[in-house]
Amino acid sequence: MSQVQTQEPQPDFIIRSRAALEDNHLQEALEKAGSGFVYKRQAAIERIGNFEQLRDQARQVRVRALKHLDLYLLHFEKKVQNAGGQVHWAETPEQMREIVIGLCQAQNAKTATKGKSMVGEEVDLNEALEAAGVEPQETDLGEYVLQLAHERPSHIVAPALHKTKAQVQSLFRANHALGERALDEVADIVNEARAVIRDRFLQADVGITGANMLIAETGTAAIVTNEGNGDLTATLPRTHIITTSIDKIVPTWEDASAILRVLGRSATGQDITTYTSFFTGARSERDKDGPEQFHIVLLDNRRSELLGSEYEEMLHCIRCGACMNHCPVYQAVGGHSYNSVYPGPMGAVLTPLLRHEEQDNQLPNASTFCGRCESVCPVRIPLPGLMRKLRDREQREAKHASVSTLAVKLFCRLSRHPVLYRRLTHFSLKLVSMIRGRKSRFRTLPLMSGWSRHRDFPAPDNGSFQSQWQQRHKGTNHD
Amino acid sequence: MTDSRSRILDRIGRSTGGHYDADTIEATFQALSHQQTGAPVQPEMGLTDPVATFTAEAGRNGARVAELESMTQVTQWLRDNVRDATTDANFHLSPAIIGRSLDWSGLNTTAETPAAAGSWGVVQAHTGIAETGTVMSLSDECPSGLLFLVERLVVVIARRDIVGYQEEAWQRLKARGALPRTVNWITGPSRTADIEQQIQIGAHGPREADYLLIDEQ
Ligand code: SF4
Repeated sequence: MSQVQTQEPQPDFIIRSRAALEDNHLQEALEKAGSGFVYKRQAAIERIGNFEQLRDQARQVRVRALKHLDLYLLHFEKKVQNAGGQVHWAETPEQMREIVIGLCQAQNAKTATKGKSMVGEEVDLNEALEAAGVEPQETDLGEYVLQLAHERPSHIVAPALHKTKAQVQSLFRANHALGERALDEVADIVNEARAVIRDRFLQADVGITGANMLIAETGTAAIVTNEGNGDLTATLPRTHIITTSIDKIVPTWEDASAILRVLGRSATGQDITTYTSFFTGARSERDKDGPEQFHIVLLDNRRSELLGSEYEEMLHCIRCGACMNHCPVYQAVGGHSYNSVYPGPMGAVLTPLLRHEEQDNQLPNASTFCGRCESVCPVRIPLPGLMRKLRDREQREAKHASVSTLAVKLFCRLSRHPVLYRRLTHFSLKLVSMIRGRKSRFRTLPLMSGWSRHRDFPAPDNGSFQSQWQQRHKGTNHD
Repeated sequence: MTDSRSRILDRIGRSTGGHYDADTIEATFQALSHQQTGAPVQPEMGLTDPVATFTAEAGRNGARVAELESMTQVTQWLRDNVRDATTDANFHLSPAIIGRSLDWSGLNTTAETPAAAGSWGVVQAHTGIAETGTVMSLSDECPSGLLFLVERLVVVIARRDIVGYQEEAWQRLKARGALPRTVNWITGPSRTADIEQQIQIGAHGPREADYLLIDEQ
């Protein structure tokens, strides 16, 4: 099964968004998911008296973890080794793929069950495994649906959020040769997936999962899930491989608690997910079960360059998804419009920083700057501020100044010369009133088709703000 | 990939200013983690009686809690509940439960891998955490797979093993010495919301979770 998208996505956020707005299935799915996350989170934080303090605490943990990141990584590595595991370091996605494939081949693995891993998605692990003759088997229900559909996740917590129940039904009917059966209820779908995937857990040669946190104190990887697939993937095969990134470190178990207390509440409105599991090394002779081999592959992919930069705070992210659940842009156009495994506000910041592709420059502009993302982020990442910095960077670096850059530059100059500004606005208004004749609205505006395509622009009358102000104050005494 | 390792650590070191050699890591880590900022911030939820809060929170998260007096009542409770179940039940027991020589008459116990419908797991938790109604199981006491493969998971927990907040569970864990390979926290039955964000109980793990509270000396 391949995860390659059937069509190459459009290289342009605006074009992709327009298509998303016209996609009825997507709009139906977004509608259904929409406010659920928001209400559940709100209810969860209202059940306790001090959520704001918990956020502060979580943020402090992230700050401390990054401040001595190298020390914590080294301590983590040593503890993993002491517990019979191995740590591998990958600078690039390519290196991570090579390492994981090497580990699978050393085991002669034919199949690998997979728990959800955004880092695995970031490095396109599934395609690489397939090409190397190892069949990746997604086990998280959302990821499994996407594997059948040959699609990418559209949300970091609910990967198949863009799929409707009807779409999942047809995927199951097309892919499971199970004859006539009812699949109308969500329960039918979940039961069928459970039955189909159960044997795979028991037979897989390798299990590959992500990690939500790495606890430096003891070399422990923590994973939070609700379905139980992550644990079956981590526990049953003889080899467990974790694909994760260097920024997931927290110093101690107490620090892990500080993150756990905000993670579930922010993500799904749960005070804790059904399963929180802590894996330390390989099975020892005292353990009743567990894998004989344990490997953690740590991805950098430019994260270390963000440390100490003006974007460092992005490394605080604990991947809860709250920012996208509360983002009007994400809610309108869905995750695929961002053409990245990291969508929404966090993706609009992270994607340009990690991927450095030309098309990513549009992402920091995919925001209304309403500020809801920052106000719900459990570790208080100033997402709009970071997007603004990226916009500035893009404009500084733009090889050819765009029309909008020129316009802004022109405005900056003009605004510093009041007389010229007044003359010019006066002139333009005259010009405008000549063009419009007796019209009260413009249907098209030169250089502003993005605005006028979907709405008319009201034609100004009675002169500029400044000239009107002067007119009015001629006759009034201002005190 | 040793080169990747040192290049990544070098880049991080440029920002942290850290230069560590293998001998000083442990001491520096201990020194740093001891200058932690103050006491932990725990959720304000009026937690005064851990057993009462545990019961309430576990219930809210979808587990059924039964109040028993002692371990010897566990098998009778199972017999009573199996009668209501629709399928024949096979009982998969954790080593700690097997070691208790209980009266299993009328109950079909097995050591096979739990598979088909009707598999029940009976295990004893190491610790209960009131804060979230969570039970903690350790892979050097109970195979982790057993917790996930059965259809219905019955967790016996002694009231004296229930603590208030997560930090107390960490203390108990660290006091035991070397960590087991897997520490499992379980809060209610498995679930998914991956289809149209509707919560469906019973994903890949147990569809039902029962917590039996007992007293132990
Ligand atoms: S940026 Fe904040 S809100 Fe968004 S996923 Fe990361 S932690 Fe959650």
